[in-house]
Amino acid sequence: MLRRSRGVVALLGAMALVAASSSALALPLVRYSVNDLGGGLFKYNLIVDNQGGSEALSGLNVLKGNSVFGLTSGSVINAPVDWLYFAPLPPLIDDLDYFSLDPGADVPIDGVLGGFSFRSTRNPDTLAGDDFAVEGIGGDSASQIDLGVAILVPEPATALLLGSGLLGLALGRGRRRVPAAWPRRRRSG
Amino acid sequence: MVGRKRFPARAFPRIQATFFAIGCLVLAAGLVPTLLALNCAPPPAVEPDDVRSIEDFVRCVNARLAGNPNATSADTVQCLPPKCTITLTMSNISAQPACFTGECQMPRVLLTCPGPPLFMPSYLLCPSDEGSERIEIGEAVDVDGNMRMADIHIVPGPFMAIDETAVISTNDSKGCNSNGLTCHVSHGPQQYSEPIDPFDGSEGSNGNPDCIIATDRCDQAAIQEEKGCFPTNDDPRVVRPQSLSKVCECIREGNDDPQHELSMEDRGPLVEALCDALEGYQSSRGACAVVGCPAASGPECDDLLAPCDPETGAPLDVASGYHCQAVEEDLFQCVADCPCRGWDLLGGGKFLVNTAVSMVRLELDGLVPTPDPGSFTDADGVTGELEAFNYLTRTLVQAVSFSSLEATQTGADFSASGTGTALVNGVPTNIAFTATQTGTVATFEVQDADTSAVLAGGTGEDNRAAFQLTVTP
Repeated sequence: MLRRSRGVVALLGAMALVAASSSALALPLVRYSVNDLGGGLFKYNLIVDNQGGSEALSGLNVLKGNSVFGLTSGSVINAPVDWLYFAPLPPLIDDLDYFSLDPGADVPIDGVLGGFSFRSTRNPDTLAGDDFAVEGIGGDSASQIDLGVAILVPEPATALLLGSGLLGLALGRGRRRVPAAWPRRRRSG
Repeated sequence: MVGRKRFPARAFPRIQATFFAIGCLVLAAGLVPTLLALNCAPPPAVEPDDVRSIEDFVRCVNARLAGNPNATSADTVQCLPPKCTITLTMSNISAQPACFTGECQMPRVLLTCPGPPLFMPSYLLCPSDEGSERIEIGEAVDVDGNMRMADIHIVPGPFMAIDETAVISTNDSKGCNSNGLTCHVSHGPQQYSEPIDPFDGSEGSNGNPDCIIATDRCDQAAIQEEKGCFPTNDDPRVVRPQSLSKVCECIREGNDDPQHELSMEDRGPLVEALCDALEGYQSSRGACAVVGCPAASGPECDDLLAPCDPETGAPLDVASGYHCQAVEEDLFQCVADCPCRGWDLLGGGKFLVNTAVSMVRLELDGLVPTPDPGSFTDADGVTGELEAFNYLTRTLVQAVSFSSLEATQTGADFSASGTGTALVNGVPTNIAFTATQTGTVATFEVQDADTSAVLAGGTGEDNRAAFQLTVTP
């Protein structure tokens, strides 16, 4: 049991170390979560995380807005306050382009901004490769900044459920082990 | 036995004659009103879509304006046939002389309607002249386009029926469209006029291309910049290109301004109503309206270049506005001289100046009369959207209206430039823009038209920017 406990502690430590190191080497990125709206419709919620960025971000472009997510000018698309967007214009323009009207509304260095969302029939489970490629635009330089591929994060409710499940699992293991240990102690005592 | 009184034998013929006379009188009394009614009944009304002649137009006007207590020349616009092109001339050498009122250009409005026969009514928007109460009409009588003429005066007020024979030009005092000796050719009691051509600047002609401030005729072009219209005349005038809608806008603003000369003119409201009616006609039934636009195809015909009937393709002996044309190799069709073509311009994307990004969306379309799908100028009726954002200057351009679009196309490559007004960061601004596509390279630029300041644009990033121009063949 002690060996197992040490293993769990080592695993948690390693995770903390990875988390710490990744925080130290942070680059701007986009995280997203998905709400299943039913009927084959999904709401994609995007958060721009400018941790470690060299300048504020005044733009966010979803590069395959039409070809992957089927977005057009008729789609439901939302932007944060003081941001607007240009929808894709198929077949010539694939991007969904967000832009900030006011420097005060930019995503600051080391800051985070949510409120970007769109509805799509594309099932997030089928996304692969660079389907969800995104790029930013620098608030000062107006130049593009590669943000790679958006990263899926669980919804808070999903995370809570997952966390509860893990906690329950851990507690369950503990309870199974304790009754098994007590008689042994009694016997040995 | 009851005896029967007999008429004397001698009296019978007299009584018979009396009855015969009474019968005749009764019959006559019944027939005369009938015959009178037959002779005096107004000619049947003619629907605007069926108007092809002076008489048709008069009958339509008489039917539609009957009982109108406040009739004006503006009310006759509803009787124009469909598919007419509109040309605005500021020429002052005419029985309908154009003029300026304040800064407003008040042109003569010439309509060219495809027939058969070719039909050319004209109106005047100058309020200082009685000509704004008149409609001059030319109707082609031969292949050369010589015309019989009419001059219809609608005195503002209760409508008085027009005598269709009294309006026909029978002397030199009206309906003349040329300074030359050949202006009128005696043709029995009527006077014929040479073809009306406001673009003909040759000596002896009333025309002057430098006076044409707008036209949607595909075979002609209006001035593109300020010009001296008859500069050597006693009334030299500098005129500027201006669409009918802009002319009407100036008239409306002038009438609304108590300090403006136009608001002091008795005929100010008349010319405003007339201009509005003509603008409505142009957008709903004119040559480039959806319902009025003649197609670039038609029935097959045999006599290449001969005037033809657009319904059957049969050759005609009168100018019709349609000619037998080669639309493909060995395929002749009867096609309007000014066929309309639909066009649309689509595209945009990501454009760079050095590394600074602008995003663009462009979706425009229109109908334009042009014989050549590879080159056209649409000066009226351009609709759609233009949006651009310059990330470096945070400039947002959102077009609200378009004045013109000019394009030339070779294969998939093209160059297009346009003008309009836009909200630039919320401020109304005159804009000028260009969009080109050469191979895989797209370029775009939108400027403040008044300051030439570049608002957004650049060279398109590979695979992230493209434009496409489509013109119906």
